[in-house]
Amino acid sequence: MKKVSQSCFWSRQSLGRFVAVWLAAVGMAFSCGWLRAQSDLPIGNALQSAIDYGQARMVKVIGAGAGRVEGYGTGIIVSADGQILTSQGVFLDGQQTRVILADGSTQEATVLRRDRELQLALLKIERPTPEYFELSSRPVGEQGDWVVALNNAFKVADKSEPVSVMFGVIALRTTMEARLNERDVAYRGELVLIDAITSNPGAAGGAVLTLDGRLVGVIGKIINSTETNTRLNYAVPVELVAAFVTGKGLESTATERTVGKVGDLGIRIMELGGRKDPAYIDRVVRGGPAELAGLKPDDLIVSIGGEKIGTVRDYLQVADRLEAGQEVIIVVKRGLELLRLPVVPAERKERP
Amino acid sequence: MNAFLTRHFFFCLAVASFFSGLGWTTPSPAPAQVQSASEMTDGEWELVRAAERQRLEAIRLVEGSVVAIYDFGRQGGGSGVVIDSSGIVVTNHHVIMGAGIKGVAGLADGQLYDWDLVGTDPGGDVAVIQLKGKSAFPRSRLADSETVRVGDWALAMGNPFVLTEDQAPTITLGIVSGIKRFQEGAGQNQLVYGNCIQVDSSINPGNSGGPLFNLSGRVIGINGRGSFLDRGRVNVGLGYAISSNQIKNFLPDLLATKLVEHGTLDANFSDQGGRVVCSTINEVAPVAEAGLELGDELLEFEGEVIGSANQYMNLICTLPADWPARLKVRKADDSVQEIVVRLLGLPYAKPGQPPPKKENPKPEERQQQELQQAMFDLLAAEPGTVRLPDVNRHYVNHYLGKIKVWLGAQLGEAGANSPVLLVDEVFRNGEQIGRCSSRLDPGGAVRVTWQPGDGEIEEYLFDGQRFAANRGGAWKELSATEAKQSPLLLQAMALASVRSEAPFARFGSISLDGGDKATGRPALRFKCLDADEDWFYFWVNLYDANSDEAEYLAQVSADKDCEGKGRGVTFADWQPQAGWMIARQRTVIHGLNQVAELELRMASAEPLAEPATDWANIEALLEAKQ
Repeated sequence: MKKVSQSCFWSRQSLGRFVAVWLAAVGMAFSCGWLRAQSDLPIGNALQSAIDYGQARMVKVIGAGAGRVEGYGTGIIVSADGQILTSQGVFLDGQQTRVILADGSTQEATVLRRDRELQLALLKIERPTPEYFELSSRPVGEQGDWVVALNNAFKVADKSEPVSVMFGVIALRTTMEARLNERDVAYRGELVLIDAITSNPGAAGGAVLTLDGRLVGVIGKIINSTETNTRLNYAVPVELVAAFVTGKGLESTATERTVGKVGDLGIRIMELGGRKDPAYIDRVVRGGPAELAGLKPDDLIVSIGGEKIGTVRDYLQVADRLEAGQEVIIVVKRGLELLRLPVVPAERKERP
Repeated sequence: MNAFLTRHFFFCLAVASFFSGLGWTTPSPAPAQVQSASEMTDGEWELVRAAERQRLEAIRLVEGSVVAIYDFGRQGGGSGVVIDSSGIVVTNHHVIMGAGIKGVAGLADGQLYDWDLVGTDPGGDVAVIQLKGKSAFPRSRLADSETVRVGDWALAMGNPFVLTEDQAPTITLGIVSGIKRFQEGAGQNQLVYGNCIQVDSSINPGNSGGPLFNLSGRVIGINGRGSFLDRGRVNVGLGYAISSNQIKNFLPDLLATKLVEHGTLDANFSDQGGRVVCSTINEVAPVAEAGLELGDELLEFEGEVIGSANQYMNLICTLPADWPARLKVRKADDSVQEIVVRLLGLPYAKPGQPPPKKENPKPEERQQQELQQAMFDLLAAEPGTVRLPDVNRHYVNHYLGKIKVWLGAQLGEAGANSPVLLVDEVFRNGEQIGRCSSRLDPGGAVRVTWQPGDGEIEEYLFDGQRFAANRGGAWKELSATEAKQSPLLLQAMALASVRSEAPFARFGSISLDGGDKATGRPALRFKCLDADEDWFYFWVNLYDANSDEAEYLAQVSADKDCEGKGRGVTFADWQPQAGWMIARQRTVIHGLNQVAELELRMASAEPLAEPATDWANIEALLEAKQ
């Protein structure tokens, strides 16, 4: 029950031994209009019963922490024979992974398999788990549906203490293509965005449920925008989770995933440690698209496909969105000259 | 816990929020209990609209009681809530740490009012301040936080980011995400949140000290902190509120103007094989002297069945020092023992050096220096002592006044200004052993006749000034000390006294001694000290069994723990009777564990024709003896 929280007084100036900071930011919050957990309303009962239903099927996953990487997560029971779905992460790579069930009992778990793209892992404990979530092979929940998100963010709950419950609506089903760079999220299919705040340490692997207790999806790992310091609150849709758990792949009736092949320019950029450094080419891969197009080391990349490249970070973001086979114009500065060079990206190989 | 996670700051960010209402759900692909908008019947829509109206109504009713708290320089801000129309405001300790011992406060009426610090609890992050400048402030009521369930709606109100220009609060809606949470503290025993309420209502810097309401408009907690990690100090969906029941436990000590410490048994418990076992104990702690030993299993604490060491930890975090805590333990020989001890205090680190003083401060610097010095003095004060006697006296008068208001309200037109004859049946261990009749006069005089089933009649008299007893046929004057040791006289005097002009004034000057438990609920404990330095205590409950406010007499005793020669009397089942408010059940108790010795159950209460001058003439009775 060790917890992490801080007080919320606001001040500009210190009094006594306390130091003050004054910052300003602009944030956006969605909130949901109305209602009361009143027993004569369908919603009040539904909220309670969805929470009760969910809590019995939630687990806390305790693994190995390292530095700032938290050694815990949330998981859900997905079969009667002790299969547990959680989020993939280095915390599962320790010597021992433990799972704490709703009744507070602790079980040792083994990792059955992992999915790098979806960032999910399937665990197994040697104990029957008669209460588990049914995994629909079709999408559950639509935009505007109310959901509850059960998760153990910040490890607030310990032992048999029930995990935290957040409330919100499904904001959108969308793909993350062209929105974030690949380092943050490898998966390019559809995600379920919700307005409950779930993007917190330890929350990944938690359950997002409709008010009638159906699993919409599993809370995904933190996706953080380095520019705005905002995070995306989303769930990996249940149909993908089901496909992963059964190991059968997606049913054709599920969402169609039109993921293009990621392009690769064959460029190694000069990284001096700062992401705001200008994007000079350090090396070009022999025989790669960049070399074929005439790009050379020490060229300063000015734009790609019309998008201005001011920094290494700009480059990484734009490069991650290139599609294999789709020609783009790259403008580079070489000496005092500006050069416009058409490049056809090759297919990117899986990064090690 | 990583050090970087446990930082405590007290400061700020400004965020503009866009409120975006979201409609009812769209049709779901599968059959659902929760219907979509198009499937809802007119009746269901009406329920929804009614709920909406109720929420808006709740906000309208309570938002006037939400306080924006500033220092004089208005360099920062926090929040609070008025819980008594005289302007008593509950907020966080860390808010007054930032703001100082006085400042200004904004209410939704757009006006600014001055405030003074009354008392503070660094351990549980609760403070009480007093608003000034108005005779009746809008206020809210504290709920019973034990009724809060996960999934309940929770309205947070306050002044996040010091946004408000017109002093009206910011309101954020969410649900209760968790109950009985524990959030560890900072420094030495400070800012610990035990048994607290976790919400996903937006709680941001500046919300501190502000109320968390249920949709009935009752305060279920005081918002104090959130889980802020490395993203700056903005809401991340986990806010924590100090439960209203914890606040009720601390309120009396805070009103007594104390620097309040939290309680400890000076013993620890840990989980061992499904049992909660005493794992460390200070052998000279009161609980050890009362019988607790290493290895004893904790079965119950404060009436709650204990299933884990965390649960015990959560509970004790909500109790102040000196609280009479009740434990049930199983000993090594399998016997079960009940222990009641007053909790010891958990000390705070004293502040180090007093703030430096400038030689020739500018006027604004001088004010700042004075505030810093005052804050230093506050934190350096001896915990548990009355710091401000004048302010303490103010609350004595305030609550004695409230008892009268309560009596008046209960009696209404029926309130008679004539004496009453009260007849009780007296029981010991469930068996009737006699009758007790008490003549009570609104002026405070009483005469009690004790008629045991198998013994001689005894009589006791209080004429409003002096005491006398007739045991064995002759009246003899009693000293105040002797009189206080007679529970039968005491119970009658207490009934008459609350009705009189100056309740309990006969026993000396009255101070608010602090918080305590009486009739199983948090209570104000008042202490009367007479010219002979002899004391007397009475207890007033602020809440009834349904957690509704009701200021009434709960207990009296010549001894704080009802120990020794002193007996205590508790009062229950207050009802209007013959133009009086009578506690129909009174119990004579002994000891901190409140062993019931006698029970008085009202048999009848009739108006009495003879005035007190006829039956309470102490001079005449004492002369008759001679």
